[in-house]
Amino acid sequence: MSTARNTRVEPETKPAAEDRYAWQQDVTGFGAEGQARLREATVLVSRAGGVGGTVAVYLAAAGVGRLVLAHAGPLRLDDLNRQILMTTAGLGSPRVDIAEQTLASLNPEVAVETVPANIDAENAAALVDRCDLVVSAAPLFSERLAMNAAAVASGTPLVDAAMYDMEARLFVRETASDPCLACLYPADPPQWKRRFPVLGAVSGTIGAMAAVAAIQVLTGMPRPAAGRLTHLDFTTLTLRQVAIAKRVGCCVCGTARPV
Amino acid sequence: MKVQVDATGQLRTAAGWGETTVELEDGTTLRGLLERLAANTGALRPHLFDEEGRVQPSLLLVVNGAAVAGGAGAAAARLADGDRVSLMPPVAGG
Repeated sequence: MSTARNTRVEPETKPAAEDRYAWQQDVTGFGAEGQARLREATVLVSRAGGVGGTVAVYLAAAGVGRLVLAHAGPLRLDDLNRQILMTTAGLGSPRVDIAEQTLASLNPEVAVETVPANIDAENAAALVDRCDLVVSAAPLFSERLAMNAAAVASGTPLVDAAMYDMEARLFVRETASDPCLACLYPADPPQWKRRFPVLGAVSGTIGAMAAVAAIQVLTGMPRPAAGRLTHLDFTTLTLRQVAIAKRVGCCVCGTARPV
Repeated sequence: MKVQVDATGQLRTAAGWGETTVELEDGTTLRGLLERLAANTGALRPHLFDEEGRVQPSLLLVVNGAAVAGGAGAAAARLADGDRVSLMPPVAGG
């Protein structure tokens, strides 16, 4: 037996621009003030791959004011299992150009600046200094450590997100009292290999967590990731946090004292 | 004494296990545990020690949930029966 449904149709009206963020402004501790802070923020993301691309998606969706994306090179077919900003049609095109198009289609209110280069010791300071927060998601420690050094020097908060196989990590340095990435990794580890095992869903998960951490820092929400290494293990579906101390004699953040 | 050891990242791949129990002489240090693991599984050695035999500086050692203060340099810390040791090598997959 069929039942008549109440199918009242609301009159069509053009949504106001601010409706884009209406639901997230209901989030506890975020509100209109958090939205305004986010709109004023500039965030550097390096690179726009499986982790960084996911960070960029969620920061753009949330309404960050300006994204600076740094990533060299053209899109390859073997990027596409994880680099969700990319498209098959974009194979062979510069990754940052495809990323910019994808983000513009998601949220045209966000200014996207592309840097067709990877971060190194030469360009890090110039890029980091004009940002309110940096997201470190490069597959090489030399890039991550260059970003960290520039972030420490300029007092810019840093969110470092990384993964390997079925594990992922998040590390946040917000203030000078927090340990820096070089406290955790004092040297470029020789065992690390540029090619790593990756499921896109794993890199995307830690990318989404990094976006949350970035939003927390930028908007003044509680920041449970700061000063700790958060480790996510999908083989056991467990998450743990380890408090990291500033390394005595750290060559980057430097002012460490024995505790 | 027995200690529980878990390996993450490339160490897990090299070891072929995520968790194991290691039986050690009483008073064995954290470095002694690492030496035992490297002796049992040669593929672990470059992840645990550098070419000069020092514990890898970027290897995070965690005992009973707490990072070992001073990093790898504090590998002289003595272990106790029932300790849980986590070996967390650097990770940079992006």
